[in-house]
Amino acid sequence: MDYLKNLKTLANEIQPKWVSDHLCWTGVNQQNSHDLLPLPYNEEAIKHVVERVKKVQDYLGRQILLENVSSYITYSDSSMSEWDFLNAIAQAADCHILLDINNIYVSARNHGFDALDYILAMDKKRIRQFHLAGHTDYGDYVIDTHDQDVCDPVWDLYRSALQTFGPISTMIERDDNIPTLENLVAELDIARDIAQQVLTPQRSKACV
Amino acid sequence: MSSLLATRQQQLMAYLQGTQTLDQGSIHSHIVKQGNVDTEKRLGIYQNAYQLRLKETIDTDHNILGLYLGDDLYEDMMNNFIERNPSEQFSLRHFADPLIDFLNQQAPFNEHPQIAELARFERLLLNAFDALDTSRANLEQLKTTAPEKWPHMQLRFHPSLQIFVSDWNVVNIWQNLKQDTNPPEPVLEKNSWLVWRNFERLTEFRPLDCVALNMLNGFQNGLHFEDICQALLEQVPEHQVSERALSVIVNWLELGLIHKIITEPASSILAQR
Repeated sequence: MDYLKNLKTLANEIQPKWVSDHLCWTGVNQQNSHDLLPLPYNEEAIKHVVERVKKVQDYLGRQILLENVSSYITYSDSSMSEWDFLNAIAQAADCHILLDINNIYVSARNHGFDALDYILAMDKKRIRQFHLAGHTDYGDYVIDTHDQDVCDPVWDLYRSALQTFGPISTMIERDDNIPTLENLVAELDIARDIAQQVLTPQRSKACV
Repeated sequence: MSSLLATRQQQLMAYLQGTQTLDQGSIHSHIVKQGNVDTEKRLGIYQNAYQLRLKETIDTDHNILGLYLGDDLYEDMMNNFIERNPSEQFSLRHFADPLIDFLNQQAPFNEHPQIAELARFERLLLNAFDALDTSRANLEQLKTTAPEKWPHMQLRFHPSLQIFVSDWNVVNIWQNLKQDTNPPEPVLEKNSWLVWRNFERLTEFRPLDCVALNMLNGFQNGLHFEDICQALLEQVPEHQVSERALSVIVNWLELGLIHKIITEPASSILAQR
């Protein structure tokens, strides 16, 4: 509760547009992995997460955004797709969704699903923000490193996401291997150009 | 916890930490086989990330310790520490807090006490770096303090202020390694240092003499200026006490070490509320 109390104080102080967290787990029995570990996609996990999201939203007095993470494993306990899992939680907890488009791409490559299926399945009215990022491609699998430029297939997915959801606020994330500001702005301009092409001029201004 | 979800969490965590037991069962049999990448490789991505993340944290905090120990011993130290100290911290910022105790207790590190001291110095630098920010008192406030209020004067220090008291020449060792030169041999050398974040928000340290150290300890323990001066009589000739104490306080103000000069007794502060 100390964490939530501090979070509420911070949110009151800086008045962020959104408060978001990842749909994952990080620790168990008071031990922290400091990683974003995937959940099994089943009814038990939905119930577990929904109860907690509701508690957090009640305490903060606002809806939060849940963000999809990259993953490398699928539990045999899973009984549904990741997108059905995320939609079910968002609906039951009445929270919003932050779609990390790079994470969808990474998970699609690692688990062999079509990233576009994920995007097209998402509950349109709950999407509030997109994240874009880079990753490291090892051929048979992809690791979400957030330390490379956004690649072309992710730009293509971004285009599809804008076509599907309309103007949605977008952020490019970079955790490491930070390039010059000039290069970062050039990457941002790619996102702006895509938004310009997909959306009408007036609507694209509010997006990136 | 007895749910299936909790069991999977415990199994995956045990795998990451390398502490799986037969009773608990392996996470491997609960992972779906997919494509060309086998289960061991998929789980290995998480285990590698776990190890790398914790090692990076130690290395960011204790870069100079790493140079002092050399690659092989440093790698051994990190592996041992990670195995024995699973993180119970909310933030990685505090993951390596138990490192000093670890180095004081575990061979071969405990046979060379300067190693734990060097780690302690690096952690104090971290504490100074990200301590809370607050306002700093200035010389004008001291000058305008009425003479009759001086005896009861107390000081509150900037949150970044740290005192490093060492038995070894570890600051000298740290400085040499920082400048890419060979460190001196460890020498028993009792000394004290002030560590703090200066006006430019840069972490700074400088030697602290016995008089200033005793004054600092006294003020931090809530003593008044007159008590501090009384205690100084053991170190400084009587006619020099006030002048010496004043020069130390002025120096602290110039360095940005003092947050607040308190001249009202606690009872009168309460009475004003």
